[in-house]
Amino acid sequence: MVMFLTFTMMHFSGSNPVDIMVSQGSSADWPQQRIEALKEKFGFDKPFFEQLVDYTNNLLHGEFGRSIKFNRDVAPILETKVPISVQLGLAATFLVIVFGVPLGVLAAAAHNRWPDTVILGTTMTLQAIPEFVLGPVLTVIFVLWLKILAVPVGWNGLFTQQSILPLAVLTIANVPIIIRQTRASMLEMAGSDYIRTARTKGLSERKILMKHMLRPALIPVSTTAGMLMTSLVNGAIFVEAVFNIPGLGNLTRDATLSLDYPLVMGVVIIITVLVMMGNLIVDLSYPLIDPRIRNR
Amino acid sequence: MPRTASLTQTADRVKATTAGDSDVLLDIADLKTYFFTENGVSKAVDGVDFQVHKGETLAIVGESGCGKSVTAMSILQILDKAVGRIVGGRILLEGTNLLELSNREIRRVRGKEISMIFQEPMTSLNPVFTVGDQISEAILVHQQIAKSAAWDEAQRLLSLVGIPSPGRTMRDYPHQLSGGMRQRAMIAMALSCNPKLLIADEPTTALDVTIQAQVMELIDSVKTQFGMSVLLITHDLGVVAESADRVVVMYAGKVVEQGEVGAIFENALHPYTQGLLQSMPRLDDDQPIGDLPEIAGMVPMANDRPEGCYFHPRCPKAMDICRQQMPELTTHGETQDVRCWLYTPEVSNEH
Ligand SMILES: Nc1ncnc2c1ncn2[C@@H]1O[C@H](COP(=O)(O)OP(=O)(O)OP(=O)(O)O)[C@@H](O)[C@H]1O
Ligand code: SF4
Ligand SMILES: [Mg+2]
Repeated sequence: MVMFLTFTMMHFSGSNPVDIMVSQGSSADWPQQRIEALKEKFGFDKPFFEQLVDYTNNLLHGEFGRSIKFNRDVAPILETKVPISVQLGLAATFLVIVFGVPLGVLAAAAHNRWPDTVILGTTMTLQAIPEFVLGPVLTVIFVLWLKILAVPVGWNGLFTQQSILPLAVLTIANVPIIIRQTRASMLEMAGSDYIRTARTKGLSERKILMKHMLRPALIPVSTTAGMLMTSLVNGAIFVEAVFNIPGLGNLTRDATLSLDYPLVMGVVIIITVLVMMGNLIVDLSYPLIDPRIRNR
Repeated sequence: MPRTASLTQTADRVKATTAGDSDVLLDIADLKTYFFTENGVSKAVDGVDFQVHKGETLAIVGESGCGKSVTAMSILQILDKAVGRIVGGRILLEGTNLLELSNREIRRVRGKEISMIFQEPMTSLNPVFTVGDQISEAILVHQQIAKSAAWDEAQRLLSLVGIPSPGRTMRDYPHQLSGGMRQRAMIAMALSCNPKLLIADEPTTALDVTIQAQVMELIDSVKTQFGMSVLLITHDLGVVAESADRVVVMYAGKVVEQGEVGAIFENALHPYTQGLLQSMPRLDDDQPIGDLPEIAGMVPMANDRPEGCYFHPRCPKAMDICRQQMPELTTHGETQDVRCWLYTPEVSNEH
């Protein structure tokens, strides 16, 4: 379905990758003959329906086709990019949860007192800064001024110095979402009947907060974290661009700008699969957090 | 009716003589709980006095919004601190003023000396923990025993409150239980530390009619079994007649009448109590429920009460003085107190 939509939209965008490639070079370099030959090679001269059938057929045989821009098969390209984005995205999600949930709890515990105000104020400020500004700013601070990090470019694996700044940017940019969600759902729990019951039993405020409020508050937090994970895994376009990380985000941008549609189709399909896997993980984790879903 | 010396005696003086009585478990005097909201100050509880005796069931009745729940929550100090504050009075539990306790000390009263159950059994238990976990937790807060011992004790309590298969219910989550069963679980939790007082805030209002009677029976029976007193908040005068020994009638944040159930039902003095009783369905007459006379008018808002007696805009017997001055609570006969100019000597002498 997703595939069909993308394919159709690409086809009727009124242009094709060969034309784009041609228009980028000077027209003299491209004799008409060669253009036609290229189009024929990629099958653009065939009618729409036939192209679609061909593509689907190939896909079912595990063939994503050949990238026009890179003149390479799509599958190996994806194979190198996907693990990078998945690692980066999962690591960022992990960090966002590890920092976001405790800070949200702290803010809720200190509701309307200074720690709450400070945390809330900071998150609002951070949310106002775009990632493509935050990246260079952090680079200037840590690389040029403090000189404690090397210039972060490219990707050498998750546990290398290069990944520190991209991860920091992703974490800082997204942690406010989890902080605010945690704080809001904790505060919502605060007025509930079962918190009144917990207090009536003689429990300490600390126990009420860390047990009776936190556990139910994690239910909406996990929904948000799941959505965040999916979007982070599927390529952080700005962060990958700023730090020149060869991940899905960069690939999506390249593929789209050049209308390299075997590649775009490959990216779209991989992203769809990743989204579905993300949703599956979230769905599977719900019953662990919410017993009402576990045994009905 | 003997309206002699006792007539002039104010309720306060009665309190001064009985406060030392060993018969009194809880003694509330001039309790004031206000809510400070954007719309001004709500005097939800505005000078409430009553006592709970050992072993008795005391009912608090009154229309919605008259401050019954706020009174109950003030006793355990579980009000929403952001807006609600106890601004005056005292609450003596066997001579100790609960309002002077530290946070840590009042926590030791909650659940141990005084327990409370609520109107909403569906939402009063935490949905993400098992029933057994929540009951044994209540035991473990106040008693230094092993977790397994607390679990066994919790299971014993569940069977005591009439839950058919307590072993399974212990491992169930609240959503797996019916409303009646959840209220029984709440009662089991409330009993877990052998409290001296059980506050039940409309414990049956949210339940099916058939279950209501069972839950009230359960409360009556555990009261005797555990030798507790019960402070029963209710709208249902039928329940009062059935279960309570004495009754406190509240109106707009004040006690307007109190006394033994028999005396109040036979000879209600306050026009408001009389109105409540008239609107109560009786088994012995054929009047359809829809035809019962309601008290006309509405309870005044807690932040906008009239001058004088708060009931005067709705009172069929209102006099001039009622519009100017709030009457005091005065004692009549042996045990009945009433706040109404009709029964205050200077005024009633004129009649
Ligand atoms: N959290 C709150 N914030 C502001 N005002 C409140 C709050 N809780 C109670 N009040 C005020 O206190 C008044 C008395 O409320 P309370 O809950 O004690 O009534 P009640 O007698 O228990 O009524 P019901 O029979 O409906 O339970 C209300 O009318 C309201 O004005
Ligand atoms: S004091 Fe007056 S207005 Fe108030 S109840 Fe008595 S008669 Fe009615
Ligand atoms: Mg109430």
